Amino acid sequence: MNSASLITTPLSLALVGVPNCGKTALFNRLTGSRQKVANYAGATVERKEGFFVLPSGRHARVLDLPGAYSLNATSPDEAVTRDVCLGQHPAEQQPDLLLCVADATNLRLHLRFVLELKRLGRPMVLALNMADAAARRGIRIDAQALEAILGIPVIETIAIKKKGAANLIAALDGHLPPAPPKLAEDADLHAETRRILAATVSMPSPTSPVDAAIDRWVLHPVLGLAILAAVMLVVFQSVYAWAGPFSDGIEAGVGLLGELAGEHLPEGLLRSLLVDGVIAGVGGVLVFLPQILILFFFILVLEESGYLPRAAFLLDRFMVGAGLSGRAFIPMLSSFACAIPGIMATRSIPDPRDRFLTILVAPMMTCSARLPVYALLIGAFIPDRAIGGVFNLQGLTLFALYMAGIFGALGVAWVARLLGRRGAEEQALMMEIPAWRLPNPLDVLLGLKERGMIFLRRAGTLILALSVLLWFLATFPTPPADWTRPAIEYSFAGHIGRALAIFFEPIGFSWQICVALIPGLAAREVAVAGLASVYAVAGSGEEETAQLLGAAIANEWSLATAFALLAWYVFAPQCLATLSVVRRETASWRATAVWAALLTGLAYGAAFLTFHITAALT
Amino acid sequence: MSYASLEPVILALVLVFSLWLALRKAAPKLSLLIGAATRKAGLPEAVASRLFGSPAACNSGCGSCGGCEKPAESTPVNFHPRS
Repeated sequence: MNSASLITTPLSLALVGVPNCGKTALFNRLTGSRQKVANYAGATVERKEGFFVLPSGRHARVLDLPGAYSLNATSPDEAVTRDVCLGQHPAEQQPDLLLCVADATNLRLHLRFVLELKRLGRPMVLALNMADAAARRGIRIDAQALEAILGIPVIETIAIKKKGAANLIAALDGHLPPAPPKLAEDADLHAETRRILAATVSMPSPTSPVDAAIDRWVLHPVLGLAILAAVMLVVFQSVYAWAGPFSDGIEAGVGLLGELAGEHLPEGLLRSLLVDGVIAGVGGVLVFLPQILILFFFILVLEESGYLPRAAFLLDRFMVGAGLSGRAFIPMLSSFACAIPGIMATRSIPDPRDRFLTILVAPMMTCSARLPVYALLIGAFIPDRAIGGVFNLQGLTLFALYMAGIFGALGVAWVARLLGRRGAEEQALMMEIPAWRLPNPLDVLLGLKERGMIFLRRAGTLILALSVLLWFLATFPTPPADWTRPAIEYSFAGHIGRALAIFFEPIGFSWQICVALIPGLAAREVAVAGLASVYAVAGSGEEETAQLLGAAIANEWSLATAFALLAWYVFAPQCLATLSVVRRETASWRATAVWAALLTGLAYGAAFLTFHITAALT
Repeated sequence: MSYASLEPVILALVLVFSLWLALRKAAPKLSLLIGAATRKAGLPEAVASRLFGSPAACNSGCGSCGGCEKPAESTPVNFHPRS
């Protein structure tokens, strides 16, 4: 092919690699926003295609294939990757070049798949991604030697950096590399991987005796669980012990802002909108930023130190005992941040029934959006008292709520397995335990910044918008001339709340709670903003309402109502984004309806029992 | 123009802006559907994309709508090998 025809013929690339190799980040880096996203026909597997122009002017089309560990597919995702690589996919032409992405920090896992792809005898380029992270960890890779052994171009990339793919783009801009020499069909890929690693990679240090000594305690079947429980207890205690002064500071700032707005704006609807809608709604949620940051600080530290995979190892026995696949741990762990990535991570579970069961229980893990609701109710109803001189009652309550979610999930999985088939083949959890390491403060800070920005962005967009809308609903229509009841009861929100209260009254929810549950459908924490707005509008003219939401609900609700709402929030699938992801991942409205009905029923039942038992005891 | 006469105008603007923001953030798929309808009705592509989002550019990886793959790939567990 001459230079002119090279430029006019688009280059067709397929990005292929093991999950978490940074393939999608590289895809985004190469194509920017020039992407098309669709589904492969008849499957829930996402098809992502992107385009970019090489420096020579030649156009390139990139297909981001689903992550796969092997061409021996065990899931629909891996089957698509296999078929495209083999040129057997009915709707996809065989790519000109396989752009194989490998995580440079974990070559041992990724290289085996590279060798398997090499067997196909197709032109290939290997992108050694996360080259910067590997260098930071002291992993030295001789890229030239690797290139010589594999017989394919090897290029280091850093997909998350702006110029991180420049060398790769330059390498793609020209003639295709020749197809590498084929590996023998009967070659032992593991042995070949070990041989190549020995020749090209030098690791910083082998397993240290210190690591082994720590693991003897931490991975002990009994002591390890006790350590895990203690670690979790410390985390939840700290959320309350440390957040207080910061939350108080934000609360005071929000209150001051409300007072200033109240003083400087003339009486009227605009002032009410700003004070009762925007400041009360957004401020009511912002107060919980310190708790969220402290919780994520611990999660990041535990992750960076290498403790989380060990926790997975310890809990695997319980998961399998409850009827969950060993592979369900990652989706469930991810769901502590947000159920959406957790549900998407169930793609790695090949058995459809196991996968649906994990999708069903993953949202019971307490996502960060529930934290403001928990924190509000705990702060209002649980005294800030020391227990046994060490523990704080509020921290213990938060710990209990997280545990209720975990054990609720395990219980539901156990019942589902009892009702379903027995003796099904168990999918073992296969994972590598990383070395213990001191968390890098910069990485932890960056992670915290990311979490903080996500929360603030939501506060400044979704929560702000819904607070304003809720204010309108709580303010209009204005009461008639001869009104006798509180003005908010004549509003749309009042009517909606009262209509919903018929359904929620048996579990102790007032009409104000019912109103707050509606914006909570968009995101769980918005329920706090909803409550703040409803109570602020109800007490219009008293600017301090914004910062006194806790006091207001403590006066108006019974303990049974507060506990019932907590029980509702442990199980209920209120978030619409989660619902849409369940629909997408199951590709079935029926399964989605079953999912929503089961969780709602569970939440209603739990709230009902909690309400009546608490009412009887108090 | 007096404050009293401006107040309903400001309130209406804030309401419309909030409805739009809530639509984009809480119901991105509905927003894209409305965008497609407005394109059919003759609204210029650039304006429709700005107001209701562009299906082609939607795979931003922001994670706010769950409509893209990025969150699934950033699991909180590290699987790097011991040696």
